[in-house]
Amino acid sequence: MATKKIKITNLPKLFEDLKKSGKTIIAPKQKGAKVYFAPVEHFDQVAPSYIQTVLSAKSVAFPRVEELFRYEIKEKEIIQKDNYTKIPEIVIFGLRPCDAASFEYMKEFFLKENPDVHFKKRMDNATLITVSCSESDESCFCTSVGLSPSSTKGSDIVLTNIGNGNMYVEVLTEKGDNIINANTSLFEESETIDKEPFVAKLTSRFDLNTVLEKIQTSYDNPEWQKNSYACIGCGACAFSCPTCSCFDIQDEQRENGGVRLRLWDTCGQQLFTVHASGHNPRHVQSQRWKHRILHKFKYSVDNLDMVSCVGCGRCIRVCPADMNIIEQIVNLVEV
Amino acid sequence: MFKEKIEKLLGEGKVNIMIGYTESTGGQVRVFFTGLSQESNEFVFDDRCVQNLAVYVNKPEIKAIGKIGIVANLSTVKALLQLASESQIKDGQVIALAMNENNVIELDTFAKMEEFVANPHKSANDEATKKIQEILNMSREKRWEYWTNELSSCIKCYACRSACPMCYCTQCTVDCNQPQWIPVASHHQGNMEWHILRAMHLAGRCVGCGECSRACPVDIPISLLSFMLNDHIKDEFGQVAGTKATLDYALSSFKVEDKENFMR
Amino acid sequence: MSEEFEPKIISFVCNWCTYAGADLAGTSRVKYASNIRIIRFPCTGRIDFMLLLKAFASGADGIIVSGCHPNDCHYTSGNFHARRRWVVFRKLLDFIGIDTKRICFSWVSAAEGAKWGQLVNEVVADIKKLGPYEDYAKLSEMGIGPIEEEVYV
Repeated sequence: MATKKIKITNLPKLFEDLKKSGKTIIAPKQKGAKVYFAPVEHFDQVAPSYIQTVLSAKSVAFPRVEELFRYEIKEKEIIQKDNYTKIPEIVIFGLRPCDAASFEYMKEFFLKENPDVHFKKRMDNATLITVSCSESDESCFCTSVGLSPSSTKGSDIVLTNIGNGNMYVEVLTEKGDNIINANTSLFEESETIDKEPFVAKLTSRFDLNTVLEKIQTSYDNPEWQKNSYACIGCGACAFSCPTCSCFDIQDEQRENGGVRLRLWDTCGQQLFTVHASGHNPRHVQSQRWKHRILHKFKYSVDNLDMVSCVGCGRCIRVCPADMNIIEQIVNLVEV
Repeated sequence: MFKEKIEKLLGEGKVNIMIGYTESTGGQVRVFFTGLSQESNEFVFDDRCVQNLAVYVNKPEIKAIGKIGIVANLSTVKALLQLASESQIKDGQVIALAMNENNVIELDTFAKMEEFVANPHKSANDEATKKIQEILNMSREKRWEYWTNELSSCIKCYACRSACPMCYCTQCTVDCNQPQWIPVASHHQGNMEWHILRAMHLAGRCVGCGECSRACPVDIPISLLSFMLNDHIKDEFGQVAGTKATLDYALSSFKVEDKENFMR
Repeated sequence: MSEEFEPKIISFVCNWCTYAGADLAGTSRVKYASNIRIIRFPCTGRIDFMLLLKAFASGADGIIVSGCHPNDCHYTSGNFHARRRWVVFRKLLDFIGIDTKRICFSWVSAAEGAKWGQLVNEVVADIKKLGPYEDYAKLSEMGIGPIEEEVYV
């Protein structure tokens, strides 16, 4: 790992150089009172201060609506056009450490067996520049799931504001090296710096090992019923979550042919598990709510050896019914 | 005051479950459910309690519990009446506790709910009314730009549908796939058609709680569509949702003298 | 020399009045524009409002919706319900910014063959002036690609 420094005043030039080399930059942008990831042209469009964006950056590698292929029928021939060859090079700037770590889970999910070509191409074309968190709010709980405001997991480059107009730069991968080497004049050498004084302090809300142990035997616990009355069964939590990876495939008609689309899906909705016969194994909301938590803290651990929650807190912030996953997990451990 | 009412209702078995609001984190409130009279202390009721709790009355697992008590703001009472008019709840199945000035009133029949709604109340949707007028004053092209822009951020999470007490269909039109009438995808056409469809299905049924806009994770002012249609239906046909326990729905009724100015 | 724009008009008509009226126009040899495609419904009450949007999405530049005069509906009250529906739907479309000048609503009875021909000619002339309607049809390709237009939210 290489360590460097960059003056904050050099960041606009870095953006310019990235744009000149043909990259698309996705960064947090202010929209009204909230911040969302969106394409930016200049550094001054990046939101100056924010704790977390509303939706995650997973749409860079796992878009909300993705065209898998399109086909046209010309006379008697069917012509198929694949879309993934045109995927641009993207730099995501301003990810939080939790978001960068979430990509590690997504990579396990999509690439482990039978690698998903679309996801792979998008991930290969994406460079992740993380900015460490100097603040947190009560919805953040990364330290409870084995991460931290200074974590480097999943990032190509990590920037930390160390005061005096300087950012400490940690370069972790070859992709990160490529960016540094293309802009050497903007970076200075730096010795290793301890980031702890400069990042947010987050007390752990629950002990992960206890949770992982208790959840093994929680399936039949009647507390789930009571705890899930408030859930209205929308998709806000799943869609804003950086690790929720369930998808739906839809075919749509277009003039003289059609497209096949991959869309986000959510286990919170009633029809997620309905069978063609009409039978629905998760026909009550408590079963669906229980599934969400079990998936994140048991099933993904069983299948991929990873907890699929990074503690970003987005689900807590967007939930219309204020379900609060932290409280639910604490309750699970206590009861 | 009203905590005692709740304790009494639960203690005497007049309701089997009480739905209300309780303190949450960050100075906010959240919905609270209990069947135990000793938990009546957890309930609060003040200006922060804007969530329309009538949506929970539609859930089969809550209906199965028995008689339902609900701490109700004005929108909740209106929603209960509208649900009653659509035969979703029976008279006496739901007891609403509403605040009138500083008194707690127990609305255990539809007749009492109708009376409560008929009293003059402070208008809650002034900001929305202003915004609707602002949009109506724009040119058609600007309106199209405004709405395609707002709706482009829709992620089709259906939080608006899930939070709405009037969206209680067990299989929504958009969930039917033979044929797939409304595109599932959240591309611009899918979003536009979903919101137009929903506005039409709610026209004349929306009680004006604004829960859809509050629930939306990406802050789309969805309630403006339904509020605008509510005003239009009131002007054209004189019918208002959430005022009667008997059906008076603009799109399932008609008058021979109905007027319009656009048919050739 | 450039071709003059020939609009595509889709019409949703009821079987008992307007369709019969259009038939009468045909047997009476009334000349009217051939830009129109007629879709027959049992009653205007059956016409789903989303069908109008589907027509625009498929490339229609203008729409005609026509049925029996009030009090003459073959099913007694279908057109009364339809009338209410259009009052509400038209307002919604207008609020959203969809061009309601491109949708013509009318009552054409089975005896009004001449009126049908005249109506179609008027609508075609109006739409020719307004030009092709691409705003709505474009929507299905926005938000999924080409890649540069993908919405990152």
